[in-house]
Amino acid sequence: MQHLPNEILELIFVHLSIEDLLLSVALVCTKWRDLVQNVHVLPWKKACHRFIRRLPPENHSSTPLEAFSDVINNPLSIKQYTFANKEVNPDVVVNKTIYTLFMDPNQVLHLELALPWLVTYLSARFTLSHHQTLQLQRHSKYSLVKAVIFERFPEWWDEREDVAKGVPAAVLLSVIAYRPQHVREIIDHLLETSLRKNSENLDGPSNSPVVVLELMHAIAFGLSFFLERSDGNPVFSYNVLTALNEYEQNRDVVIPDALQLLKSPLSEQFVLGPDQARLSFHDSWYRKGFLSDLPRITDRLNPKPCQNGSPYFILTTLDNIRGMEFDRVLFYRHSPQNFFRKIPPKPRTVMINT
Amino acid sequence: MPTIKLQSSDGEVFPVDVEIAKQSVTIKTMLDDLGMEDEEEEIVPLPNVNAAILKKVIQWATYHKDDPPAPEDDENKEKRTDDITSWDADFLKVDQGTLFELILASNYLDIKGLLDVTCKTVANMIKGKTPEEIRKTFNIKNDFTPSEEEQVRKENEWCEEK
Repeated sequence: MQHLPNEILELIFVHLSIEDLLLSVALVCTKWRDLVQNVHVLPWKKACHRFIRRLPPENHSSTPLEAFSDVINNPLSIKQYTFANKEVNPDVVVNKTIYTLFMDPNQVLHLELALPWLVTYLSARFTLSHHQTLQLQRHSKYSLVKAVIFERFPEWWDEREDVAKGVPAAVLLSVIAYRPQHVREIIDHLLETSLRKNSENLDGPSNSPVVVLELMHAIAFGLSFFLERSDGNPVFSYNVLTALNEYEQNRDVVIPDALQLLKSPLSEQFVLGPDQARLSFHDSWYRKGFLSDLPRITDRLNPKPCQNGSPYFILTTLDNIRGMEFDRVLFYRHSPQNFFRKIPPKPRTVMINT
Repeated sequence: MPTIKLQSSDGEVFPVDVEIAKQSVTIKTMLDDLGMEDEEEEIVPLPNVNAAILKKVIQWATYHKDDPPAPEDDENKEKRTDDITSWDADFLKVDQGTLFELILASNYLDIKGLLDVTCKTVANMIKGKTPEEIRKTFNIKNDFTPSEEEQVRKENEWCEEK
């Protein structure tokens, strides 16, 4: 049995129930544990439903430190993001001043696998009152979101009012947000609702701004975590982090726990930015400027592009529409040495006109 | 009926109806790609499958030659393991080693039906067992440290029946 390759074991495990997987298989040996943790194996839908049904209402913790202890213990490492200005993924089109990114269908698949787990995970730890719903009709991804939520999480969708409820809505909207600004709108909405609720003295628990912001931090880190585990793309969490960064800078809101979370395990993360002459490490990386001068930086990153085994950089978005511009890119934890080691299994390259 | 010859890793040659052999996507692709014609005395070497296993695979494929093509996997559909036909169940009453070799062979040969039923059979051997029983069944060494084991237990306890 131990000689069977992992992909075969996964084929076997998909036939098992969530109880068998988590209470028995995961405890057999470390190899099996790691396989069960792989999001591809778990019948997530079943898991979500069971998980939520059993959750006692008071069992909500709102500290991201607690919720994401496993993230802290398993620091993020986003795979092989390097960029050469003469050599890009076909899904990436680089303009002179802006970067137009295209969808890699595989990334969407990863996200679909990761999402339910993220939603479940966060729903267990954060409560947003049911009064707090998010109107989706105005959102440009309305039909996509509705499809995702309604098809798979019907109980998280208020059909009568056509709104998504609570934490899942916040997570899903954050994920599909294609600009940091859209995440900002989610934050504002959540805060606005909680303020209004206080003044109108509605029933149910009320959320402090800190809880809302902690939730958003947790979403960002949860996204990083799951996307990393499933070879996903960091862009999604980048949007959330950037929105939080901007929000906190403007509003002067500081969340001690969240800051602690960001600082302690992730101090090895580094950012690239125009004000930095070379790769450097930052404790408070997420508050600094992100990469805004990509060609200049990438020249330095990869002086000899187009060689076999040279580093790659893949930028994608959830969207397949032209015009997804990113002028800043976030790199997750990598020492410079490791940074160059991770190469995508099948790099595809195209030449671009600059 | 046209036949082809399949050669096992240990050199034994099995003549098989082409239509039966084509349940293996690997062989089907090979035949299509190479354009092998019926009258050619071509031998297809299968270096990953020994004679005993190949014989079993051919037996399975022969019995299932008229099966409709397997439906596409539906991610959202619940996986069932109680839908193994009695013929398959009898066919798979073999020792573990053979069962695993059948899985590997059906994976290599890309025979979805056989892969599916063999994996389900193994899944049924896991179902409802404790970790210790599973380790015993498959002779797996427990390589957890006590604290690691405790951690997994703790992480997953939410799913326990209350």
